[in-house]
Amino acid sequence: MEIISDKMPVPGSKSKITGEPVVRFDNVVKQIGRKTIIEGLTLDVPPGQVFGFLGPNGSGKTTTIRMMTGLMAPSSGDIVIDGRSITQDFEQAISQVGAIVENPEMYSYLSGYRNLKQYARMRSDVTKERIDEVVQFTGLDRRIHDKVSTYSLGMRQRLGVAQAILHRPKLLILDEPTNGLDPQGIRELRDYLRELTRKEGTTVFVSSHLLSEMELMCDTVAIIQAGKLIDVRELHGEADIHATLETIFDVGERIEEALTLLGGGEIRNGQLVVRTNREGIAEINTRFIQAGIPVYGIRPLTRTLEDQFLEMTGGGGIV
Amino acid sequence: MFDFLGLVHNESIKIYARIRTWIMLGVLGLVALLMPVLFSFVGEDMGMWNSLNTLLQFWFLPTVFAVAVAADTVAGEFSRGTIKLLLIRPWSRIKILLSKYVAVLLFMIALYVMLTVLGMVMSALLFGTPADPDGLSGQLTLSLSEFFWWSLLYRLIDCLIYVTMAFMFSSIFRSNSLSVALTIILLFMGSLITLLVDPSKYAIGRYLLFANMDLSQYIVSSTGSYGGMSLGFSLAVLAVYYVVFLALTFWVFKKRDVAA
Repeated sequence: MEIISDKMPVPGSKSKITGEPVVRFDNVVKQIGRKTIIEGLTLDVPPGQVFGFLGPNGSGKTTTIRMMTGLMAPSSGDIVIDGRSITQDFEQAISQVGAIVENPEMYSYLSGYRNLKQYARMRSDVTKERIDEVVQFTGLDRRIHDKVSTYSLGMRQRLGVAQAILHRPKLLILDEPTNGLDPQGIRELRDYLRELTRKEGTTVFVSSHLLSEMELMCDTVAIIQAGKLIDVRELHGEADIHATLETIFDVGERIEEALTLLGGGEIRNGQLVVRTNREGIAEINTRFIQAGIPVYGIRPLTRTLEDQFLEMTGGGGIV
Repeated sequence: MFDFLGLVHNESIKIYARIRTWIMLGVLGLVALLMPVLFSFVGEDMGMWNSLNTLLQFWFLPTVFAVAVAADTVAGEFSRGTIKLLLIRPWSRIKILLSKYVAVLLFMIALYVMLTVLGMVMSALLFGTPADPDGLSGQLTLSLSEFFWWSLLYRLIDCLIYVTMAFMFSSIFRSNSLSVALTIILLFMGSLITLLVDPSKYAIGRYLLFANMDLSQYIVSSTGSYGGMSLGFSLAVLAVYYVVFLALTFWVFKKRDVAA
């Protein structure tokens, strides 16, 4: 596993970035008391993506989001959103941001609609039509005039999304957004985030500790552990026919013989693993058959993000 | 400016949308309406201004209610977690906190107006409006109506200080109950503190907040209850405390890391 230092450029991702990053973390450090929560985070979030921020509990995800939204001040370093510093130019920087930080806590003695009106009144660009549109969109229309105290967790989460997108932000920050959503709701959220990035060009920054979810939702994932960025990788990359992949050849008993024949590859967990590209696979297969070694199966050694994540974070990872 | 009024509007909604607020207003309304009735049963015809001056005994009520609302306005946002969604709007923390303070002061004034207007209407209905304000009251050089208006103004100033104190505690401790408790304890313990550091014996006592509260002491004596002080002196001391309270409130609120 290639471990990418946070100072080095991230291979593969830079080439596809068009335009200025929406968020730029510049050597952000956060210390609380003697404890260092975030250690020199440097990261660019490219525009128009669903960007995942993945890490085990206690790795500093929420602290990072609190700093992005100005709720906490970094001990050193800076976060620049849409070209404006969150510490120096807060009002301008935050005006492009919509967010849910941890749970979407609302005024429970007000109706959902009156909660949204609260946030609408704090901006000049949210019309009544926009509120109705967002209510419709989040599927809250039948209950929007009920008090929030009567809402289920899932409905509160929807209301949270509603207040975050009310002003059509360029950057949408969602902290563990699928908490409390049922599978139907998670699917809807996923589809919605895709639509937002595609149609409105919104950049979505999602934190989660749920890997499977991130794989389905994100274009790029940054992995953080114990306050350090340990990897950034692109998902959903189009399958590249020239890419070299680790491939397993199932040759049954004659594995040693096959290895000698190839003069390359390795035996891992009792299986023959060869690193090669598409052409190479066909070629190796032909050589085995010509040598009379039966090939029972050929499959790519794909590891899910979860495997990679556990490998990188050493399994447990709660610090 | 128009936008800032939107913030004050928001904060006012948070105050008036709660049942608690209407219970307070209801209690206050009942006191203002029923007390003059009680006075008319108990005593003979005491006159409208005497009735109002007796009603002054209940002016701790608006203070307690306004303190409760002031203590909740910041602490409540923290305990509910709503502070996070409030602070990520394109408004500086100073402006958000200021809108809360303004809304609390408007609520305080509403309480005073309600108690005064209802008390006056009820007293006037029961005792009639004296064409000529009642004569001088005892050794005072003020008429009863003048006495009432000055007392009202002084109590409003007292209330402002207590509300600002509760608002400060709310911002510093982020705990609703602690802020209310501290303010109410100070409200009732103030006289005990001035008893310990008696301003008539120790000059330093004159700079105590509580020696300078209750400006109505200057209605009776121009040198105050303890002597050696004046209305101007007390106003200056109160002003210094007031500015320090507010500065502390805003500074803490601005600097704080929000990790609710």
